[in-house]
Amino acid sequence: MSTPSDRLIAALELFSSKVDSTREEGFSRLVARSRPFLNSLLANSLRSESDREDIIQQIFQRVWKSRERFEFTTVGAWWRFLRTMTRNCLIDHVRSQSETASLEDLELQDIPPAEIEMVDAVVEAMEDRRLLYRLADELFLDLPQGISDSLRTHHLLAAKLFLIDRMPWQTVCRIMNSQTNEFELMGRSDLDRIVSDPSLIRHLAFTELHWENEQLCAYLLEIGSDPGKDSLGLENPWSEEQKEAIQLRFQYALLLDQILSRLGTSVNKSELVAIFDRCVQLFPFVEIMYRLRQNVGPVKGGLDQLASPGLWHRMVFQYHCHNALPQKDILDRTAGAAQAAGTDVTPGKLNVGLSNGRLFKKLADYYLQRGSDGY
Amino acid sequence: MVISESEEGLSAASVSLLCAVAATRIAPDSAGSVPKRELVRYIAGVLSSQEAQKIEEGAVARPTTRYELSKTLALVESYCNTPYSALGLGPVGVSEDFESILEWNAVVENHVRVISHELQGATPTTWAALSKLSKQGADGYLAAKTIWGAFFSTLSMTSGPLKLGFGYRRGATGSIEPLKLFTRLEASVLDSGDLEIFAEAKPGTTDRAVYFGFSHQRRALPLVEGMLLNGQVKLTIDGFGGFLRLPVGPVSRNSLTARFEDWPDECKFGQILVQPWGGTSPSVELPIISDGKLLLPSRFEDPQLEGQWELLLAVTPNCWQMLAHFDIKCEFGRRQVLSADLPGTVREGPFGGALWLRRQLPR
Repeated sequence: MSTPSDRLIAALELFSSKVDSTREEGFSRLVARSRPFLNSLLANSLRSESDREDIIQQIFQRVWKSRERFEFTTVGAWWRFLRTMTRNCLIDHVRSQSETASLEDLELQDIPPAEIEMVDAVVEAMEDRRLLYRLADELFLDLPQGISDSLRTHHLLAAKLFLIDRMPWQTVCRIMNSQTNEFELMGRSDLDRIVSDPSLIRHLAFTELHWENEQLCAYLLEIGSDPGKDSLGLENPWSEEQKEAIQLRFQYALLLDQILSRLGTSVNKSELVAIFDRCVQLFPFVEIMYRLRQNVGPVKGGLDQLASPGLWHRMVFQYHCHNALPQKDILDRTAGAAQAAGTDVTPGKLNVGLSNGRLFKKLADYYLQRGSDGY
Repeated sequence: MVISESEEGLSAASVSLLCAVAATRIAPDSAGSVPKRELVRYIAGVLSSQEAQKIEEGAVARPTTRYELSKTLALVESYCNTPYSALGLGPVGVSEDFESILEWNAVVENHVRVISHELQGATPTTWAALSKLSKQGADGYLAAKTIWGAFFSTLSMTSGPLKLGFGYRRGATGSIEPLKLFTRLEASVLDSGDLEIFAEAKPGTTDRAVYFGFSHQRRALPLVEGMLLNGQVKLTIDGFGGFLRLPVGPVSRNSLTARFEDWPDECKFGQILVQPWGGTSPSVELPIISDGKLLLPSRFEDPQLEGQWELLLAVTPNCWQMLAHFDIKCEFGRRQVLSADLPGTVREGPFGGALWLRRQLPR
């Protein structure tokens, strides 16, 4: 099975071909793959979506023009090339708007040559999401390094069956011992040892509390379809327009203005703000935290793990990196639950964690120190 | 939540590049809902490692899958405790568990097909037969694991001490302590997966035939025979280390135990576990398939054995399917033939599956 990194290398090779049709195929794959990267790079410098799109078009035009001398051997080299291209296009764009702009304003300074090799190594690792999240689990949740993904999943499942689903330990062990070919047989004492591991409690809490956008949106739409059932304070079920707005906001993570422009005149801004605020109040995360406290309360030290900083770093990292949520949205999904756990996630702390990519920096430094052994 | 600031490490320019790469958001394949059939196969223990991991990832992500897992466990256990002939499929679509029953039947049928066609009646309780079976593709390996699991079920495939038994081919008295025979015993797993055994006897030991077997909980699996010459013997057991998934290299002394024991001359009967819960155990003859039925000739002569008995077949590494139950009347000198239905995939002739004949205790 090819990795994302393999697929990117394959696209680069296609684009290097001398055959036009092959080259075009490679180019279209590169465009699709690189657009989010460019959007992210330009996000701080250009607020306007259309300006960003203009620059992205220019970048791809330049990439196409450079096709004859195109040659990359690593994914890191491709991203660095694209970043330089972005910087050049951005300079041209800013100069056309204002005489006073400088490179420093653009936050796209050159990467120090001494770091190139390290950056390429980290980029390679980050292309593999499983590896990236595994590194994040190790760094923030303090999960042990030496065990396989499958064993981690195996232990996590046992803990969920026992602590979250409250199944009898005999049932849990019987299920967990179904597969005899890879894992040690699990007995009562093994199960007790597994669920009392602090890092596993943090891992369990993280997987319960982090919801994908699709999951959260489906939850909001479902509870809003029959408001009387759960005493949610909603007078009527969501209308079709409201449902569409909720989907755009919470599943596709669009901003208010983008949603307004999509919906046209059917809903006004204040109405939308009120709906979204109501949705945030309906988020399940605080309730999940209270349930988690009940579930892990009997485990010695379990409640402390729910308030551990690492758990909340991991949450913020995942919402930022995996779901690409803005800070306000991350705050909406974490602050209430953190408070219920006995700690806090505030706008200031979020800003410290995410500004200048500090969480990424920690993760990259961790990877460089740790090396790739065992992955 | 406090994130300490460190100026060491990568520069801001490098970090901004990493942030942008991370934004490309290539999420791993999300764990989708798991079909009932796959859950049955998971509980039965017939999935590959990769398939099982996918199920576990799905169950971690979805409470509904975990609920379905526990429900499937109860279903499979009920199927196992129902005589095979009574495990009716019913009209298609009537039962919501129809899909599960269908899959369970497929598991049973497949195992019976593999053991009756690949073993062709060979006694599975010798390494030669088990090894040959384990090399017949994924199904053969699973069938061999099933038979292994039936006899050595408390021993994981991946752990536990390797218990080697050794002794003379015949005439062993049991009075010679192992350490009085061998002064050195080493085992090592070769790259090929073979297990190599080297043993050295006390000086002056006469040349003689010896054997090595695997033993666990008073059950023995004969492995290999050879000659002790000039006080030394070196034997290779084809694929045994690989089958047990032992790591390549020397087997640690801590996980290697050995004892002296008799060669199990009657190992052909070792494929039938008999559990009378007291009294004199009934004698059983080799099972045979005739007209699609399993026939097990036996003699129940001790009056204490009267009552309900059941016959089970190991169908996966962790599941026994009940084949039939019997109301046994004991009579001295009378030969009774126990009969049970098997799937149509069975082949006529001697039968090599792992069977368990046990008395049902009054509830």
